[in-house]
Amino acid sequence: MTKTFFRNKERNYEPIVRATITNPLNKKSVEIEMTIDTGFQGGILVPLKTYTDLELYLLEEPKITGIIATGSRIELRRAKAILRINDFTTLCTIYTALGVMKSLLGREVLKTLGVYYKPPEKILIGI
Amino acid sequence: MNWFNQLKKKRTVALKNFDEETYRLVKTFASLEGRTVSSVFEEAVKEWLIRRRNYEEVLLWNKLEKAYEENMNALIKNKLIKGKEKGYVLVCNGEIIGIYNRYEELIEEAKKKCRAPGLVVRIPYEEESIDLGLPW
Repeated sequence: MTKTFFRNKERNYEPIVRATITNPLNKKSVEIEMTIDTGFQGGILVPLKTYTDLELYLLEEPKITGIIATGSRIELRRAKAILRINDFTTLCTIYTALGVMKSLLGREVLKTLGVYYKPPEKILIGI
Repeated sequence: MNWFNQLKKKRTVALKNFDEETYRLVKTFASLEGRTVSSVFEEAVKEWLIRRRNYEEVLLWNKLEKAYEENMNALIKNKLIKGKEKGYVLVCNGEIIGIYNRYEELIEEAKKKCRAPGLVVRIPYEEESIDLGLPW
């Protein structure tokens, strides 16, 4: 199964990564599609629904302030989870906030993943 | 997991500057229907809440907030932590479970003891912020 791909030309080849996130505490897992976002400093941002489906609230870390590009600040919940993409597995931080509609893959993971983005060709991971 | 359904409580709420005529009407209708004024207000407010765009999400968030605050309060009140320089504190259900030197030790303990929202705090604790990029 293809784990990385571009979403159509009209969206300027949005880079998508399909991955599995697992709660290390209860081993609950979900497969989600994330957009690669180099503007996001953290690991993964998910909607609150995904966060609670995984029961990540069972072992959270203290909340953190998120600063968006316009300078506004919002409150984020966070917890550790296991991320698996193809053969790559890592423990990373999952964030959520009110109003999050889509999942993002940020620099905390990208720096260790090694990603090559060259639309309209493939996204290469682990280079 | 039915932890979310265990948090029902009642509280007293006083409203300032509420329209007197409306209040009288509510009171009269409540009396005609054999109900309390507070049950009418509660019903009206619940209907208003349900019509909010992200009602389910906010409801979920608030439930998590309550548990988070209880855990944070337990952490702040605990005297043992103040004497500890380094480590990880595990808090569950408003109680300190323990202080651990290694994160892995804490995870094993949490697997056994955390059935409700838990909190792990690395000490010394420092407030942090993070760049999110553009609004999503």
